[in-house]
Amino acid sequence: MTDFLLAIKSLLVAFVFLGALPLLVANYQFLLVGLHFRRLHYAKCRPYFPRTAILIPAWNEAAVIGTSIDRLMLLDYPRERLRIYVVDDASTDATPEVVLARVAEYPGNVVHLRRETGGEGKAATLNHGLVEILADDWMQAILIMDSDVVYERSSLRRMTRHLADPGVGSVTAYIKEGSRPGNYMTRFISYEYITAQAAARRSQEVLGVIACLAGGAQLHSRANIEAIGGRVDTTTLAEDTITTFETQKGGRRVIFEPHATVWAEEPGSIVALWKQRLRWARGNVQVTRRFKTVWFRRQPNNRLGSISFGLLWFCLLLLPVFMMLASGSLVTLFFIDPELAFAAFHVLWLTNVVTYIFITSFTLAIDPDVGRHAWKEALIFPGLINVIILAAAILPGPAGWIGHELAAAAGVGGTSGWVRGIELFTYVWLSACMGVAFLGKVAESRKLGHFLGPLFVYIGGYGPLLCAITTAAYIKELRHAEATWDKTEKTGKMVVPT
Amino acid sequence: MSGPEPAAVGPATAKQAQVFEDEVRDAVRYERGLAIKCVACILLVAVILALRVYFFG
Repeated sequence: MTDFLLAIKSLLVAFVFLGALPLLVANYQFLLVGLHFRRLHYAKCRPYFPRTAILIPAWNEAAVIGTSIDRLMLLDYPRERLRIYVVDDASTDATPEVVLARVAEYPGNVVHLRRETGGEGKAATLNHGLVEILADDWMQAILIMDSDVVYERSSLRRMTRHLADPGVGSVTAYIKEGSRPGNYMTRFISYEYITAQAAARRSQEVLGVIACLAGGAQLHSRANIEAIGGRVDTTTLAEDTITTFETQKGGRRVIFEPHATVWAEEPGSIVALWKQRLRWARGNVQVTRRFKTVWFRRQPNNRLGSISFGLLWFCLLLLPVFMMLASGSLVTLFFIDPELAFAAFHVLWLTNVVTYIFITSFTLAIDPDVGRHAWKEALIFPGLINVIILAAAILPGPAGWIGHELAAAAGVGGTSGWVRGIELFTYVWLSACMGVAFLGKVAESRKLGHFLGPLFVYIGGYGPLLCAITTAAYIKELRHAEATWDKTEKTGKMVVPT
Repeated sequence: MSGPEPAAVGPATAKQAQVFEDEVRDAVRYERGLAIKCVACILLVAVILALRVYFFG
């Protein structure tokens, strides 16, 4: 019996430590960012301005499409080498009129393609345009973008210069959230995009493999788009990731150009974020299944199967599992051996402290402009309660004193039951924070939702909210729920540097 | 059918070449700066952990 108990305890401690794995991998990823200067591709670049077709799928985008085209016409790029193809996916608003007005205003530069029967999703819309564009040999490179994104004037030429190297298949840019003044949600996303794009893609480039071309900024050479079949995948919700993987499987390099900046309007509410990210997360689950023969297996001409890339991919995909496993194990240990539970938690949480300080400070330093705009959301990214626990881990003396004073004021000071209650709450919170963040989504559309929604996200955390969405994606995929393309509503309220 | 290879695009103008050189130089400088920032952030973690161990333990 004693041996059995020992085995159970060891297993539970192992599960708690497994919860530290995504943290260690996150630190590894950010350390790689510091090495990015050693992997720059500029030595193989030169000023290069291929004839570029810009493909924009549009469904009811009247509010944004005109401005996007106008901004594209201002690109610092030879205008005779630009052609914008708007694929109007049977829009029912004024999109056709807006686009046709631009066709007249920019003769030879704007093409309006109309699908009379729409609603098949973004990938099908893109394929409609690809057929048209590939029908003649004018196009040397193709930029696939979203109708609302706005390119800084230098962005396209900063991207195309990488295609001067024939070994490069695709190039992506740094997408930044452009809503100003925005709200708490867009500021969370602003900060998240530094971590998920500016940092993550740099580290992936150091590893020699990119996980995903940004959907709103993917530039392909003609050779690459033809090599992957001249069309994008329509069977998953992650056509951009599939394209990225197929490009690299074909032995062509994918480049992240962090100094080509593209601005996008991102969701301003929890419900809109949930809709968008659920699609992304389900897409990632689908990609994981699609490329099941690639993970952790040496590939002949790419690094998709490298251990490092697999760790990055699966630690993000399975983060909610790691969190729930660690939390459940700590709670079980608490009832079996509270001292061991506290010791294991101590290790896990010190890892968390190191990760929080390193990643938050480095992320803010990577893009100080966004950092100045969203530093509060950066600090509270894990959620208010988690930040308090982190502070208590850094400053256990002062935190203990404050806790005892508060408990004394409440008339429960000094009782061991109170201390044990706090411990148990902390262990449960590791996974419960996802549920609290989810409550934000539930509350948002109800009475006082404009107050309660953000409150729950601030308390539970934006990071845990993303984990809750990933969990929902697992459930949807397990149930084989219908995969529909939910469009993110855009208003065109962006302030973009000129 | 594939479009012409990069060489067919023609030489860059002197201005384009200068812009290219300037932007690449700035980008390389920025990326090297990130390495320094990374080290600074590691030092920040070390200092906080040292304070934690020696003063707030």
